[in-house]
Amino acid sequence: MISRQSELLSKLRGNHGQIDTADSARVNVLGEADYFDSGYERTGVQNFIDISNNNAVRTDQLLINMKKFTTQIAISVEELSRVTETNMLALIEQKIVAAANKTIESYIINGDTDATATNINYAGQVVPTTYHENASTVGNNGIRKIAIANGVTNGAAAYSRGVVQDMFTGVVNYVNNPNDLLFLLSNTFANKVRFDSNYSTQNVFGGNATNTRGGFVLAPEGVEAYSTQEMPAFCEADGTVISAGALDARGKFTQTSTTNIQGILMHRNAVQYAFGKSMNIVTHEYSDAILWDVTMFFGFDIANEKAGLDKTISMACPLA
Amino acid sequence: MSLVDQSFKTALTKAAKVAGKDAGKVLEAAEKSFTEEKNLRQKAQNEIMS
Repeated sequence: MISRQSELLSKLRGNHGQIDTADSARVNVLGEADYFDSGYERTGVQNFIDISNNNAVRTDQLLINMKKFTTQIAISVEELSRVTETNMLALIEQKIVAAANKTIESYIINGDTDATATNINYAGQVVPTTYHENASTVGNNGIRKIAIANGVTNGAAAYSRGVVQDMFTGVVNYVNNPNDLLFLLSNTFANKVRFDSNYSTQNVFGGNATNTRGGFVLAPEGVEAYSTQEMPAFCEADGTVISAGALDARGKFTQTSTTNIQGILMHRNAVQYAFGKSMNIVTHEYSDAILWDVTMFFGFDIANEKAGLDKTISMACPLA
Repeated sequence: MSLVDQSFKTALTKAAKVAGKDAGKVLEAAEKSFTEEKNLRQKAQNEIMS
């Protein structure tokens, strides 16, 4: 029910669906496979009973820990009355699912379990105590955390097409098919790419096709680009964020300086995710409104340098 | 088998009741929407596999 509306989740391929648990589940890494063994005539009983032998196609496993998220959403009788019976689902989805999507996106992108000054969202700062009690980004290490650990490129360079291309070297074993990859960009980085005059764009298709420089680039280097507000607009040269102002427990982080911007190139199977127990919605009725009390369970793990994999995520943080 | 789970169904029914709408029609529309979505996904999956 959530993933059908989520822009980011629909672009990721490590979807394990719903696992009916509030705890954790061990799953095979989707997208990973081993070779077939060469064929031979199976003549002995031992060839059939020992599946741990070379006869099995092997995939490695990850542990997905479920995290519980809750919210309350109020909606007035007037608002409900304005929609038709047919459109009521869309209204509810807009209210609940949109909020769930934002939460999940931020969790996947900004997740960090670190309670010290090396937390990527509070770089060099004292992490607020309430962060680990409330924040929707605590629970697992997300895409940015793993990308930073993998090594950030071009922290001292101005943005250029070369900066975008450099990200490919970070996922060297997974560059073969552009359709397997996804650019995850902050809005600031996305604008640099979109109007980069070093890319040619095709503005007319078919027999009259022409290439234009400086057009609107949707797929730099042939890879789909997805930009989201959940990626902090600005960052430090190493990809971390020094958060400004009061804690935003819901996962939105605002960088104090505006020196650098961040872009990520990742394999679409890097995020292995699943929903836990079914979303539970309890409705409270009031004279002029209803309030939905919503609980959902979601978990993920990043398949990066584990389960036999190499680096699947790469990050560049050029100057803004 | 219903594609809309019980918790969501209850939320839809209560919302319809508060707004003075026909809960049956609301649930029918929701079921139709999810079925269409499921069929589209299946079609996309089949195209990938073919």
